[in-house]
Amino acid sequence: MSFGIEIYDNTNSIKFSSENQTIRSIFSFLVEAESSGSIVVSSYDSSKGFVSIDVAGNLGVVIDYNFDNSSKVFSWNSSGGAAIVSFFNIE
Amino acid sequence: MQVFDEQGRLTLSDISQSMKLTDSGSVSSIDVSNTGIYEYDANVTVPDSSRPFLFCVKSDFDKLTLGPSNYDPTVSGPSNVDIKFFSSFSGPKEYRLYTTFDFESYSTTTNFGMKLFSPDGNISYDSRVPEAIFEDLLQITTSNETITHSSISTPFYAINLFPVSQGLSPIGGGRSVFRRRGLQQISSTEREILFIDMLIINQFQSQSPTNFASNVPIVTSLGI
Repeated sequence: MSFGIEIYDNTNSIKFSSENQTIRSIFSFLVEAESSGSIVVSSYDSSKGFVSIDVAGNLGVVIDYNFDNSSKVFSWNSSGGAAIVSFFNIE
Repeated sequence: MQVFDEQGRLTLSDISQSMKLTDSGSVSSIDVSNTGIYEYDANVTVPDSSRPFLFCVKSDFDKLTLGPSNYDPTVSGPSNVDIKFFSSFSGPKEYRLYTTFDFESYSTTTNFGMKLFSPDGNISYDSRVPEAIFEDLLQITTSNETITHSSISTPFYAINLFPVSQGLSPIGGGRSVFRRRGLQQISSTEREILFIDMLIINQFQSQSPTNFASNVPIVTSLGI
């Protein structure tokens, strides 16, 4: 590689390369069952990340959501059980 | 400290936490249904809802879906839970659990490497521990469809982020089949989102599933 950083351990095995894309945790919160609302997630950028729903132990989750990248507002409408919403940037 | 590459992309950061490999192993099936779907339980310790985790299962070109578990995200602090998943593959299933670096302490066998600390003193990155590297993203909509992505030989799916839904369909003879939404690798570049026949029951019932969308990353690590 001509640019970037690589980190090796003492057996010369590579442990980090800046050429790889890392999953970075930005924010995570619980959406209560049968709820709707909105929240600002200022450090999340949907152009370089993704939002995921973790149904946790509850398979009765039905959730509609939207993220506006300009206002950084995440809004949701849950008609089922509680779920965890997590925001990740890939960089 | 933040390090960017020549294209302005972040490569190292003490602010945005990367995710470390916290647990890994393989589990054997504990039961099989009358449709040939095998049940697996992995006992792991996971954080509460304020910190995400990725529970990744290796594809064996099998049908794969998540099951209900005793994981309650409203409980504060770490929880020891049995994450249940189902597969059409009968052999041992490999799993990997990733959490943020500030979740639980860890030990390593060497002092050689690099650590980054966040402004509040927590570890943001430690090169001695494998981190979650992004391979590709399954953008799962409300439709069941085939998703094409980059070629990955041994994908690990973050199955805890799969948008599970389920329903019942009559199949005649006074019976019904219980179906749950899941995925199946069909080639190195293709994944099919489908309903898996989980169990046939001797009752005539119908219940339509309600699908929702989510994103499931395919994750790997260096040196494991």
